[in-house]
Amino acid sequence: MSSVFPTRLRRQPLRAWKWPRQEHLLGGVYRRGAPPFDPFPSIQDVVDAVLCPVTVVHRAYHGLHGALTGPRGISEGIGEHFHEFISILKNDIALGRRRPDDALSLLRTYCSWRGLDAETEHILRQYLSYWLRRKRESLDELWNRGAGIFFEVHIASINVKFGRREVRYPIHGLIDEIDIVDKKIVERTLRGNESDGAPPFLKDFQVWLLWKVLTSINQDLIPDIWRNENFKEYQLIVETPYRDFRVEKNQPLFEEWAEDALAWISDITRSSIAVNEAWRNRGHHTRPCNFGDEIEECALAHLACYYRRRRYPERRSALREALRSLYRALYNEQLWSHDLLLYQLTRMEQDDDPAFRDELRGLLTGRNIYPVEIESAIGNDRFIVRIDGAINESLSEVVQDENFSFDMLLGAFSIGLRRRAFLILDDAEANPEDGRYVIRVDRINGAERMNAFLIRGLLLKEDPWFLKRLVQQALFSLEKWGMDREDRARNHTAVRLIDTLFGAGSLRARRERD
Amino acid sequence: MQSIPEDASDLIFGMLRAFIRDMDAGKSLSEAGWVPLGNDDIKRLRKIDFCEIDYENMNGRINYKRQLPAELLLTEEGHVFCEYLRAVKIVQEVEALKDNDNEYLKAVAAGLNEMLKNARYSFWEKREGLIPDKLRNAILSPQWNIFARKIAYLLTSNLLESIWGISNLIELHEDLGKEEIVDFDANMISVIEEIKGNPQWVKIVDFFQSNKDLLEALSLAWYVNQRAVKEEVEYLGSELLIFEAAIRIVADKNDEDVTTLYEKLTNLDEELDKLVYEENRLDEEKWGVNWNSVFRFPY
Repeated sequence: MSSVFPTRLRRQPLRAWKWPRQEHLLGGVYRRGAPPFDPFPSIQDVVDAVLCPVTVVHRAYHGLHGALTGPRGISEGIGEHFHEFISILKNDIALGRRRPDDALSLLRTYCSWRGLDAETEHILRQYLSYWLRRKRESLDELWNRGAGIFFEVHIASINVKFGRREVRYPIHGLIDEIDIVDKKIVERTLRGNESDGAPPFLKDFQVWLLWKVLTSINQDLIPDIWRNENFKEYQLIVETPYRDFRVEKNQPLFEEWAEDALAWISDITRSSIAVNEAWRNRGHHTRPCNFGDEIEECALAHLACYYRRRRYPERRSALREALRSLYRALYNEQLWSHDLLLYQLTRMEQDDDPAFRDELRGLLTGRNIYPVEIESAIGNDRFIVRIDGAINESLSEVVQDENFSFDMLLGAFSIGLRRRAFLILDDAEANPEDGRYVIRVDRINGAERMNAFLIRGLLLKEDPWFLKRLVQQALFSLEKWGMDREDRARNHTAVRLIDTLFGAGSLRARRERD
Repeated sequence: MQSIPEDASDLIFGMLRAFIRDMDAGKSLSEAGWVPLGNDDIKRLRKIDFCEIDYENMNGRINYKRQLPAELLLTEEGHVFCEYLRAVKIVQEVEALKDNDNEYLKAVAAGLNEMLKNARYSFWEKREGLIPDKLRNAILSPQWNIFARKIAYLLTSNLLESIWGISNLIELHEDLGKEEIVDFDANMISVIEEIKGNPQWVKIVDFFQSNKDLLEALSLAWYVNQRAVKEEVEYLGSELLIFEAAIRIVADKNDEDVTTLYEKLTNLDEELDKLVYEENRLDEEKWGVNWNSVFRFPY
């Protein structure tokens, strides 16, 4: 069947990314309406946009992200559990706390600690069994050689370039694993099958993009522990439970895909007119997405593009119309709160002007970030940290608001270990009045001497931004919600309410005499 | 009305899906939904009154002029198929505007009014206290949203007069302002005078005088959006079909290339931003409105 519109056309690459101006970064502008800058995309945002430009629409308007989430039918987050467990296992083996043989018993402990149900544990155990069959030897090596693997390494850059073009882009992301002994970067996934001869769809692109971001960071910003590493020479590995795939670094096609994706992200953020074009270009460059023939791996196809339409409420269009302006307003708020903070944190380290960097650091310290010094380890993943007296009062106020958990970065914002840190205020070693806190944070593995700072809330889910996204998702669920049976709809309060509020449906409430 | 014969069910759903895919891909109604048929398929379809067969090319499709069985309409494919048909009806209405200047202007006026009614006004001032008191009181009033919808009529009239030279909106479009016009009080008039007297409003009017096509595109987009809401067109593909038709008509009316118009629309936010924040800001511009939250697409 021929098509008037061919499969996805290449987007005109951007002439320039739209950066926030200094006055925005320094908080000198009242935040209102659509921000006059582009978002600060994550690796996942770019991968989604490579998968299909319509995902950018769903990300912006409906708060949906992570189109390539993994095997269908398995509870969300299982991949994260698997990755976390592998990192604990490898970390414990490298530190000599456990032997490779203890893997399965450690899984039991992990599931119990995490409160996972039996089914999830069973699934994790199956994946682990496959993984262990292949990794036994490398775990033994790890036992003998000690630390040298870093998990969940946060990276952010404002200097990512593609091909021979000079346009700079901001991107941030999280590397699953950097192994400085075997010189490799690993992207771990549960997707894929035993028989696969190639990495799961777009996972090769993902690890390549992480590497591009990592290698765009100025060497001077890299913490001492990694400063002598030549990341350009590192191997790129996609690891499934069944196989490791090595990914080539010279990828002209990936360079094009990345620029194309970033152009979509910018265009859709700037103007809703690009939504039309995104729909006309839906699908991947090599795999079109059509009604009844969707891209199988895309979790959003059935959730957001081709979802089941219900007969009632009848005035759903009017309801959707009313929700639209909310979607956009909620997205604008995310850009002002979350993306602007990412720009601030990155420019605080990467801006060319040292005075501006200092100005930003001064602005953020004690408000969004709290530099800490790790004094000593006191066992059971607990550390004594000291915070500067000048900002201790500010942290105390945050703690009084019952914020006891923070994202912690060890190293720098540009590249550092990202961990969850929990303040233990009632520990005998703590003395908050004096700026001395006890924190519990796991898998620091040798990074105690790095600079560290706590970030208020969650770096990737800090409160206002994260909640806005949830509100978007809830509104979109309401928009899609409904029922087909007329007898039920007639007596359903929510259906009647929507039809009453939004127009003249046949189920609209009537006065008694009608 | 006929029900779906069991032995033809797969074929019928296949034809519905082909129709949707073709419409998604931008094919015309006459080209959409044809699937190749074998002899057995033709035998089956002959018994069905809502399908049509092209014997010459051995193709068949759902006959969109016929009523579909209720059981088919309840399916996802049936829903989207019907939405596309409703969308095509709106597209035909919009295309008819091309040859009727008066109806075209009426649609533009209605859309413009709708856009201004749905405007998200956010104000700025160089420093606190520069927004005129009457306007400030109105903005901070709990009634502001109702108020803002009502002043849309006055702003619409102002733009129509400045850009298209239409001095009497009611004469052009008797439905517009029927409710609003009776309610204008002195307070409202003075607020609107403040906005119209603001140097930035003058800049905005100047901008749209030189870019009439952009204002027509936005307005017509709002007009067709109202039609889409009324006709319950929900599926993104069918909805975009209508928007594309609106943009095409505006491009035709202004003798310009559709691609160029799209590009100009994509950059509109930036242009309005420049007007408000960057270019040639005059000393007397002490306060203003974020106009790109006013002149925007419905999505």
